[in-house]
Amino acid sequence: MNLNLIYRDIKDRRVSMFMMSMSVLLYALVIIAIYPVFAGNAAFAQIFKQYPKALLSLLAGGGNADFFSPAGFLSIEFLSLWWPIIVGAYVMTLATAIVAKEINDGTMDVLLSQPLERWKLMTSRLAADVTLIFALDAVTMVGIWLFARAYAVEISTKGLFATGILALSMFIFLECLSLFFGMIMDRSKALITSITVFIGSHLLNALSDLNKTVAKFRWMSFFKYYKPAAALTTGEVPWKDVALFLGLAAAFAIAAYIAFRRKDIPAT
Amino acid sequence: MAVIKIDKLTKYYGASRGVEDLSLEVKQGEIFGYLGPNGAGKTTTIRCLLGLIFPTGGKATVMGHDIVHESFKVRQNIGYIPGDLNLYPKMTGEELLEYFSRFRPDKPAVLKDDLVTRFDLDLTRKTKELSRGNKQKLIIILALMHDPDLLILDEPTLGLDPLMQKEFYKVLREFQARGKTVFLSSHILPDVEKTCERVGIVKEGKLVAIEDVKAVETKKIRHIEVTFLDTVKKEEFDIDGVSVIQANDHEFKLKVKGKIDPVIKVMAKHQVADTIIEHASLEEIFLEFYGEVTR
Repeated sequence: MNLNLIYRDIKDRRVSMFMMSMSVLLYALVIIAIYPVFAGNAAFAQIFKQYPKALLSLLAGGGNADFFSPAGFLSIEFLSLWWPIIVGAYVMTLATAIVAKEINDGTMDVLLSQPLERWKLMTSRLAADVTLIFALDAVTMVGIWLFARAYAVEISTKGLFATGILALSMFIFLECLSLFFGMIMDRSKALITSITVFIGSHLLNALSDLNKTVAKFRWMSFFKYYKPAAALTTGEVPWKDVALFLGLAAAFAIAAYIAFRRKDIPAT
Repeated sequence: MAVIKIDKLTKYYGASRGVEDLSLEVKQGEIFGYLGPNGAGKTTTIRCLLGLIFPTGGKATVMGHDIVHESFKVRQNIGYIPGDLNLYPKMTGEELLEYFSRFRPDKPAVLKDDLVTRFDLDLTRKTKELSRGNKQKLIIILALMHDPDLLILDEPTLGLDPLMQKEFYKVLREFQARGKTVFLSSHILPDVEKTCERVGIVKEGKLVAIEDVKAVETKKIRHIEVTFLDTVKKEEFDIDGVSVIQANDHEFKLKVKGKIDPVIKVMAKHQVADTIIEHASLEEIFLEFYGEVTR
């Protein structure tokens, strides 16, 4: 690892990281603040009963949706879809910046003309990104914990911890997947491909509840292994899913390095 | 001792040629010019030496280290000026130099202050605010500040004004005086002439000649347009190496290969109203002296 690179990367991203944290916290605050109003209103329950199953499944990211428990509401309105979308987009942007952005910007020439091994460049930047992802994940969970107490919404600390661990592993997987795409294609294509995989994965998972043929392919969706509602409710870390995400992350990181090790850096 | 030793280096980008069967040696303490028109393969050679791209065939060593398997060791003692100038736009000059100096903890930036003074560069400004010339100065300081043993320079004077170019060549000669080696790539013949002893000439991906720089001097081509106030006979320019392209009694267009002195002496016998002397492009010189490269 190269501390110079790690420090620089974190410093460069401090503003975007702050903005992202504020956005996520604000969103979490709104969701938690409206939950008591929502839960105590019988009319809402009637309306939601009439919602098509497909829509509920889409919002919940697949599986049964319980809008009226604190954990279910938070999961459906925030942790299952919108939060992964917001943080996922940020993660994909970070990951494709590790190598692809420097190549696109033409700054990789000077950087790689320094006595810096390629594996160190990649792992240091990956470490910087994982630090940022961890911070964003932690800020979100701590924020939810504080807001939940402020609005007397029952969200368990253990549940938040378990969800935080699961989400962190999923975002690290996303980071490594996008990093790999960034090694084998230019940045814009890598971003588009990552977003396509992300959206496709979510749709595959959501539609699996509605169609038996689609359900056969559900295992291919990484959202199948990301179940924040269960983690929030039980307070148990789904270690098998976490291990799967981290295993896949390691595989994509290794594949990314293999691609980078002998990658020609094109002149701009 | 050869600081750079290239043996049948070949690089293809898919089907298109970068360099082919290129072999040359650069000795310690020399300033070696690497001359060729745009697209000849100069940058490809340099990028291979630095491990930015990987050869399709052949091999090369820099300071005894294999460029593919020991690229890290190669880069430990090199200063590199890239042909394409891209810097981190949000960093100031000072931050940029600090950032890169930390990659070489065992090689402090001993020449930084001296170079900043000599190139008169304001390091407090962000690189995005710098002019092309000032960016070039910054990249020169970045490449030279840790006093490397080998400088690999790709079109290093682009964007520099003549005064700064002069200072730059002075710095290069100081490096040479301290036993350092310089590999200078350029498509501008006069740039190479000013500093180099030997010149490798590359065309269409192949090394067509390695010449003493004095030999290259004799291959210089100039275009002269001269207007006389008095009448001048065409026959007066029947000089070896001089072709009269266009002529009337007062106006002449000449092409001069090699020494210009005999032409100046003829012109001096008459009353000259105006004259323009231009160096031929490298492409023209190459066509004239090195012809087509046989494949």
